[in-house]
Parts: sequence; structure tokens; C-alpha cells
Amino acid sequence: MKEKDLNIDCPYHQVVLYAEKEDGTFGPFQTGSYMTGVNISEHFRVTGNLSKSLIEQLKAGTISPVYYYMMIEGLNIDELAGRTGISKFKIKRHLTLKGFRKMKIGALKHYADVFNIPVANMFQIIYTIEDRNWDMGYQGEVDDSKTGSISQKKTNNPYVIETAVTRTTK
Amino acid sequence: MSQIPFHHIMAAHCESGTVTALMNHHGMNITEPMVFGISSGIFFAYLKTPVMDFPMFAVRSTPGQIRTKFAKRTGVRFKSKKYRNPEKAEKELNELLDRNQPVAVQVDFFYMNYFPAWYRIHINVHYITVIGREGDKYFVSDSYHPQIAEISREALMKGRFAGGMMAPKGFMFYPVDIPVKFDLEKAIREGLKGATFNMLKIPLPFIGVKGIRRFADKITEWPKYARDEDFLADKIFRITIFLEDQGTGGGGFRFLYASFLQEASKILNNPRLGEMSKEMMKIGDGWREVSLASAKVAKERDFRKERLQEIGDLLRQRADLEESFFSRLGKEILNHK
Repeated sequence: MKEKDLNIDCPYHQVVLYAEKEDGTFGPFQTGSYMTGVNISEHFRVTGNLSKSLIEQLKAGTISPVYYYMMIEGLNIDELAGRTGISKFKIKRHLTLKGFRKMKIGALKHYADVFNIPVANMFQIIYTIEDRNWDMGYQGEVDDSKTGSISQKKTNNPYVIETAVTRTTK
Repeated sequence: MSQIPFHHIMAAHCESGTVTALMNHHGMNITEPMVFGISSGIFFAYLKTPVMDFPMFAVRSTPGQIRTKFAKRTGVRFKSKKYRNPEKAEKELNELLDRNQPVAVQVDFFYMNYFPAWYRIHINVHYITVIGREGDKYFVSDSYHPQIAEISREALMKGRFAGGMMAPKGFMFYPVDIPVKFDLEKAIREGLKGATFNMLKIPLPFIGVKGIRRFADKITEWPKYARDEDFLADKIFRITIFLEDQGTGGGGFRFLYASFLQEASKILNNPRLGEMSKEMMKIGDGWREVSLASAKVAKERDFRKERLQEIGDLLRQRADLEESFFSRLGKEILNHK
């Protein structure tokens, strides 16, 4: 394939592809990722749907935070067992609220380390102000014209609260 | 200390890119396609075992084999080591860096937080080169990152000691002996021979060309493994990611392999290999068609058997073409003087 046929405009996710050059030789060139450049909105839609559905289940208490993060990070029970050192039998129990309630704090720390989150995040769903820095290519200044306050709200899950940041104009 | 002077360039694939960068750092002038070709990196496997939730496929040889086969065929000696004790692994890495030795390490890609969060997944077989440290941070050359990146000590250690399938166990390697001269022609011939073996002669029904055919036959069964439409769409999108974006150089490594064949034809003074490189490039174009067809099916959420069968048909064509290609490549090596 020729270089020009593979070229994708996506400065936020660059990859190296090999292609035919103008002179007929084959070699590397740097371009944008096809998947990110063309299909990233679909990826965000799918992961967003999954996250929303899991948060609802978490708030209702039908799943545990361990289940939530396992699904969000694309892991399964086998992988989680290998990564945490916790037996598959115990993990299956920790995926339910009943099992989560009985979990030792040490096990919780193992999970948090693998999920790369603070232990405290196991007990709260955090809603931030829409963070433009997560948008690809956003280079703007942080808007400091507003003050922020934090509120916390109970959910139907006795172990999980909702933490939200709200902003008001100064 | 800070950074070791190291020429960072992006590469198509993390393992071949890491080996290439280390070789060039130590004075061996070699390209990524040559490293990939000599080590017979081209491959295919379709895997579905009872413990796997969903089928998967691979378009490259087992992680680690690029380094070991390249070493065996060129005479380069790598010092490699795994660790049980993270503190010891960290101490030895620091000592090597303090002696100005860039060190390649195996990590879980998920913890490489110089990439955006949406892009990172748990995969334990990512390779990066650590090229310096300063306070509590390390400098790394990652083939997938445009610039030299910085990573915290904590994140690097998490990546090096993640558990699970193919756990890195602190694995690291660096070259200790690079021959001034080696028989490049012989290394290329062995690489070509290894590639034909990978694709045609491994007697397992899910490896090589047989693996591509199995993939073609089984893709219509994918919906039965999926928990919902989003999940299935994601898995079908991953065909595109695995073939194009996840460090293959495009067309499931076939473009990279075509570049190797073109380079090899000049070194072996064999114009027929040059012609075959063009053919491999066209085979790669066909893999690109598989990618685009998969992305379309996933995007349109049309998972009818006929649509999945269309992807299967494209795969079957790849299998036929690659069977013919690698058979002729095998004969070409035998006839080459």
C-alpha cells in the first residue's frame, strides 16, 4: 500500500506504519492511528455505555466495586486472580456486595493496586467537572473563574457514595 | 544521573523496535524490518481454549522470540534476567543505568501513564527501554511514543511486577556482546526458513495458514461468546486494532515483512525476493481490507451470519495467498546459492 493511502490525520495518537514510498521502496512513516482517527467516538460510546450501566448497578448494590473495576479495565476472574494473588473462589465472592462486605482491608489494597486507584475510590463514584484535559488535543487554560465545592450523596449501596464537584461563578 | 544519550525513534512494534534501538545504540546499523525478518516474527495463531472467555488471534511470534531468535541467528549475546524480588530488580536496573547502560524491560502497558488513560489496556508483554533516572522518575524510550517519556518509579515498578498471564516478573535485557562481523546472509536465510516453518509446517490446526482458515471458519460463531452487542462490537473492532494499530506496522505485520523482503533481496542479490516483497505488500493490502471490513461491521452493528462470513471469506483468501506465497518462499531459499 502507498503511504498516501494509509495516511490518517490524528496528531493525538501517532503510529509507525510501513508502506510504499514514491520511489517504489518500502519503509516506515509516522501517521495517525486509523482506529483513533476514524472510530474513537464509537469506542467512547461503547465504553461510556458500559460505565453508565455498571454505575447504575453499583449504586443499586447489585454489583461490588471490585466487579465494576474488573469490567472497566477489561479483566476477567482468571486475570484478576493472577494479578492480585487472591484465589478465584474468593474473587467470585468479592464480586458481590455480600462478599465485598466481608473482605479484609488487605485484599482491598491488592485490588486497588492492580486497578491503579486509591483504596478510597472503591467506596465512591466521583463525578468531576467535565475535564477538558481529557479531550484529545485540548490545549486550553484551566478555567479558574469559578469556585468549586464538593458534595457527597448516599446511594442504595451502603458502601458506596457519590462524590460530586460543582462550580459556581466567583 | 539523568539521561543516557539515546537515539529515540518510534517503531512499528515494541519488541522489534526495542531490539533495533538497542542494536543501533551499540553501533550495529540495522533496521526494524531486518530484526523482525531475521527473527521470523511473522506468524498467525487463532486461539480459543475452554478457559478463554472469547477467542483471540495473534499475527506475530510468541513475545520474547524476536530477541532470542535474533540473538541466535546473529551471534549477539543479551544478558537477560527475571526477578522474584522487586527491590533487587530496581537496584540492578539503577546500577546498570548508572553505568550508562540502556536496559530493555518488560511491562504491563496499562501502567505506562505517559499514554492517555483511554488508550491503555492490561497487556503484560510490552517492551520499553529505560535510558535514565532522576530522583523518583525514569526516562524511557517507548517505540509507541513520539518522544522520550518520563515515568514515576512507582508506575514503572507496577508495570514490571504486574501479575497475571505472561507476568513480566521484572524481566530485563541488554546486549553484552555484539559481534563486529556476522554472516548477515545466513541470518536472513534462517529467518526466511523460520517464517515458512511458522506459516506452513507447525502441525497444529490453529497455527499459521491453518490458523487463518480456522479464524475464517469460526468468526461466524463469535456472537455466541458475546454478552451483548457492545461487547461484540468491541471485539470485532479489536480485529482492526490488532491488525493495524497495535504495533504491527499495518496489515498485520505484512507491510513490515514486505520491507524486510525488499531489503533481503538486495543483500542476497536475489531479484526474485524483490518481486515477492511486492507480492507480500499486496497480501498486506488484503489484510487491510479485513481490518476495514471488520471496522464497518462493528460500526454498523450488523452481526448477521452473512456479514461475518464476508470477513471470513476475506480471511480465507489471505490463507490461500499466504499458503502459495510461503511455499514458493521456501523453495526460493532452497534454490538460493
